[in-house]
Amino acid sequence: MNIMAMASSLSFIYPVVLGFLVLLPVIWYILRITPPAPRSIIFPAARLISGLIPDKQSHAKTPWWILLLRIMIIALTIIAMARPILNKSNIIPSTDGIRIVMDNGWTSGKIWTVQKEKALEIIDIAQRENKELYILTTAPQPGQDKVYHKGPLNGAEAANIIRGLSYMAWPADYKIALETIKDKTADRQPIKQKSIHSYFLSSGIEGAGEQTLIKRLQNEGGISVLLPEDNQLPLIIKDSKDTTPLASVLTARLFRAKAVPQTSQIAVDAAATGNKVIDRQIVQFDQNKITHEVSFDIAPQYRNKVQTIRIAGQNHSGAVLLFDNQNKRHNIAIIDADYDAEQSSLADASYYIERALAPYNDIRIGALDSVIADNISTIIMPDTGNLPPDQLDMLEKWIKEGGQLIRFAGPAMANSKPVLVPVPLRQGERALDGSMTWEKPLGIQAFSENSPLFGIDITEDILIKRHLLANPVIDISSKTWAQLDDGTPLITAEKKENGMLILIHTSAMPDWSDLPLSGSFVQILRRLVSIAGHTDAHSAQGGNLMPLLMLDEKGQPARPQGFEQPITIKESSTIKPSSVHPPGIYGNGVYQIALNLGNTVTILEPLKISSLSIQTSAYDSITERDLSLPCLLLALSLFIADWILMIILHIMWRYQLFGSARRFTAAPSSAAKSATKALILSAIITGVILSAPYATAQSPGEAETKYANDLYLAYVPSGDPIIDNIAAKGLYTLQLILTQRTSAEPKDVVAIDIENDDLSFFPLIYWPIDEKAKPPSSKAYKNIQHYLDHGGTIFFDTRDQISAPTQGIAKGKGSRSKYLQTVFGGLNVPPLEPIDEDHVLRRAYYLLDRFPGLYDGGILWVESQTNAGRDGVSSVIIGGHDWASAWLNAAPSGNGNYVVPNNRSQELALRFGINLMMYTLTGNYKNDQIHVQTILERLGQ
Amino acid sequence: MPEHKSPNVMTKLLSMVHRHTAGVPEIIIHAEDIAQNMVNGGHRQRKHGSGEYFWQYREYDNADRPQDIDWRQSGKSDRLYVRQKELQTAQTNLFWCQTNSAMDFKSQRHSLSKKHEALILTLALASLIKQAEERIQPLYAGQARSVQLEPLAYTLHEPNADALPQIGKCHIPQNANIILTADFLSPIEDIEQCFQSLKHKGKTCIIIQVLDPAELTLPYKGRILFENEQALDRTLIDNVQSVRAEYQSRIKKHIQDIKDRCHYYGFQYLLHATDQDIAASLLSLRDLVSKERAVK
Repeated sequence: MNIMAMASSLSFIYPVVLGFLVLLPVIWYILRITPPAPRSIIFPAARLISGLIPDKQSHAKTPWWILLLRIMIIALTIIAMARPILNKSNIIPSTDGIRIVMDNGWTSGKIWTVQKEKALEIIDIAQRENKELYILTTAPQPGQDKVYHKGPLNGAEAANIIRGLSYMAWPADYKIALETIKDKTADRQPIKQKSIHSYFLSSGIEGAGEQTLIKRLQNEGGISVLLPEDNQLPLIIKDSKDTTPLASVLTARLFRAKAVPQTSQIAVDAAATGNKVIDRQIVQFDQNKITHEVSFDIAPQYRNKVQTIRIAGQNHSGAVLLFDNQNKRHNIAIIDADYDAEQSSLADASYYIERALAPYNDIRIGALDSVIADNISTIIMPDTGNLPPDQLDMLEKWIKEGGQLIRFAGPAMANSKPVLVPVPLRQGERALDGSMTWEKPLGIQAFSENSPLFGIDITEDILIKRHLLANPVIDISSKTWAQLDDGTPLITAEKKENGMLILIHTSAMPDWSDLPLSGSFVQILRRLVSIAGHTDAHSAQGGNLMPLLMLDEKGQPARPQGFEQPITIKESSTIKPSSVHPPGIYGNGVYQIALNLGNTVTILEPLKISSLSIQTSAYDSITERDLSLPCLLLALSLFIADWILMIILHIMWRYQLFGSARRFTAAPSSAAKSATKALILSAIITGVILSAPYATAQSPGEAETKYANDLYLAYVPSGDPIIDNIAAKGLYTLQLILTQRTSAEPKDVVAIDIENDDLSFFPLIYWPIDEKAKPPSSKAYKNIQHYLDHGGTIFFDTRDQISAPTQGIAKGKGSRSKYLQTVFGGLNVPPLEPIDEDHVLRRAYYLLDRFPGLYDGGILWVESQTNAGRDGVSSVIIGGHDWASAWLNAAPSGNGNYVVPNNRSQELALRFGINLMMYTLTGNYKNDQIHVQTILERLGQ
Repeated sequence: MPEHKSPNVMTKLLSMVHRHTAGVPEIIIHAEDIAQNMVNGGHRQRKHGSGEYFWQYREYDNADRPQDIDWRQSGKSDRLYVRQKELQTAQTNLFWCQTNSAMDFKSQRHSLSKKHEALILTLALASLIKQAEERIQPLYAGQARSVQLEPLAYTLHEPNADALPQIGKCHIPQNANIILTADFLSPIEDIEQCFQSLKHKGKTCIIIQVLDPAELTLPYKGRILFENEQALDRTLIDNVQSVRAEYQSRIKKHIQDIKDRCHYYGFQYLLHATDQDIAASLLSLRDLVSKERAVK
């Protein structure tokens, strides 16, 4: 901001006080004729001076610069009294009162602090003008259908209220706010119609009835609407329509209010309980679209842990997608009275079921009496014959209350009279592979779109050898969820009040079919388990879902506060979050639903002010600054400067009596210089004092020492995100395996800037060569050379073993070798040679005869052994096996951190990585070990 | 008073002495230096040992010792003669130097204070007189005896609040010469009284007035509060340069008054400004002293 702009934005609260400035010349005159304090001189001949009459006409004068200093002190004090204010806000309208309307629905989450600041600013100004203040919020109070409205208030009260206000996790209800206003004004009407000017601190998102409220407020005495910038508008997240509960990819859709060009990227996190981020996607809206789809490919074992998908940095409940227990681990019971965990065998049906479900669910196995409990959502009953009537009743009652029973057929069922089955069954099983039949075992048809199992792939080689046949009844097709190739039902299901009864017409053991041995079996069971309590939800009557986990206004999961009301299963699909039903998870023991705010918002509509007479403005980042304190501080420091000057002058007069006094009067410029210095100093001090709150603390030492305390794996980024990503993740795997297997425990992987970073903290730098990368600058060369000369090791990976086998640095024809030659052209590197058989790199940790990465067979180039100045550690290692990719391939899936190589070549690549690290860390230590045998023998003699 | 002073008290006393006498050895050296230069300056010194001068021959009588008989003279006649030397009683010189705080004044940082100059001048003169085998002695109340240069220096150096010597209290031996070194800025009546009492005792005096050049010229400018040590005379002068001429005439008149009194009482007078060469002043002093001797 230039001076002119500052001057124009400067205004005074008490401009009258500035009138005193006209007295300055008078003060100047008075100060001028008032002589300075006399120098005091001890003079032995003072007696002779007494009685001398000096010439009155020529007074001693105070030096002009001291006068100027003092006049400035007085002027600054006067100016400070006038309360100068920079960027003074518009004059408050001359109404009786000021109403601050805080838009505090969830849409305010992103700009709430801005809103609050603005509100406090308005209160500040209103207080100055002695206006009554009213505060109105737009979102209902928790658990109530009333909004907060208070007034008249004085400034301090209003500021306290504003500081204590918070936005809500649910939408604003402008109709209620309007009603509140009407009530209040109705009360007041008989006395006097006061005009109240309203400041509507809007979130920028239009809600139902907002326009009406604005019009009403305008009629009460005018309104100023504050609108946020486009980038301050909130984003919401909705679940994707086609997300199937068991799909391996979690999908969500982001929505925004305006299709404005977006500069920053948005991070979307899939987080587990406690906000532990499992996966993060960085997305960016397409230029003209208001929606963007984001998907997470999360390993199955972690996918269950995903509790929320949230947009980072949004701070409101609309940016959080909660997952209910359809994506959670389920409590499952397997009825097997004879089950013995110690002796479970391949001949037990429950063994196969447990194996299929155990990784994703909590399973109990036992007799029906012992396992049937409130929090069991699914009971799986392997082949059972006739059940005792009391158990049948118990099961049936449990199903009707909302449970889900999955039954498997089998020899026992075939030979009993089946009750509690979805479809009537024929007695006896149908054998398809017996010696007495021509029929061949049948495969399973792909699941139809109507089936809840739709989408599961069926492995083609599953053959059903025996199964129970259903009697054809009218509604059998609607009850059939899966059928064999010949159309006979394989899985049937029937709704029983709130629950579901499912029968799989074959056994859970491999005696009747291949199904239990296949992966599809797992998927089918998991799908069935996950829909427990879900399929029936729409048709279920009654049943309350209690608030279990609420989202607070910031979108963080929190315990219910007590004001939340339960919702019924029936209304659960249509209900919208409100002050009594905040977004969160509602449920009973069996069934849970997530009430997600984002899903209930059809579209985010930016608030548009149609009426021209309504004044709108943006939340201004420029705020008022009261300059009276700085002025006073400046005056004070000038005063101190004056004081110091007086002391200095006094000392000069006192102790450098005659000569310096003469010099002083002869050449006042030196004193003026010191005065100028004092002025500048005081200005600097004032400046520092003023700027201190706005200065950001910087500790320059931190960046340099960041990597000093731990071991870090470093790589040189090429600029290509794919290569860099491979390098980073590959090194991360190497870090894990090092931690896992050796005492070298690197803290992290660092992408280094070879030009500017201090490389000396890294024992090894991995440099994947990308021929498209920029050649290093001269500064980088200097840095690298310094690093190599002082014990560092750089591991160059040309990653081109296949395309251009490493022929040696000088002879390499590949483009990456060319790049490497360019790099080496600027470096002083000792002669290199192919790694020999005895090289310590071959046995620094593991004994290796080759060094496979993603490729194998190339030559590894190291420094000639003759160069022994560095403890035998080569400063440069060059190869082309693309090790980082090999390491990356061995990376643990998800966010686990235990590395298990999938095959021998991965294991060897990791071993090479470990050897490499050990080599750089320990030097020729292992080389010495070669002689251990000899040394021991000699000692023995 | 306890018989044995504790070491603490002794240390204190010693340190006090040292503080007060700090610089005295330098002053002595400085003074002797100047005096020595004067001796070596080729000036005639008519001294061949005191009491060596022949005075008269007298006839031997019984009261005389036989050793005193001058046999050569006696051999010329029949009578025995005793050789009598000139009676030589050395002249006592009493020194007094003003050492009150007024003498600490110096207008230039690098110049010497009046006290310093006065002491050097006085002691240099004392040194010269001592070399002439005369007695030197401080003019202070108490036992009067001849001292060496060093004790004299210490005695003179001791601060004394007096602006003029208190003649009445002092024992002044016969035939003594009194040398007063001071700024003589007291009212002329006080000085007159002092001179009178000196004259009353029938002594001859040398008056050395030591002044700072600033006291002679008043070189200040601007608004200055002049005060003396006792803050008896505080004068605020707004514009010092305008009274400078008048001050200069006043100080000249004061000096002239002192000179007149000296002339009247027959005292020798010397004005020494601290910016003058001490040696030159000392030369004039020596002349004054020898003139004094010649008068005797």
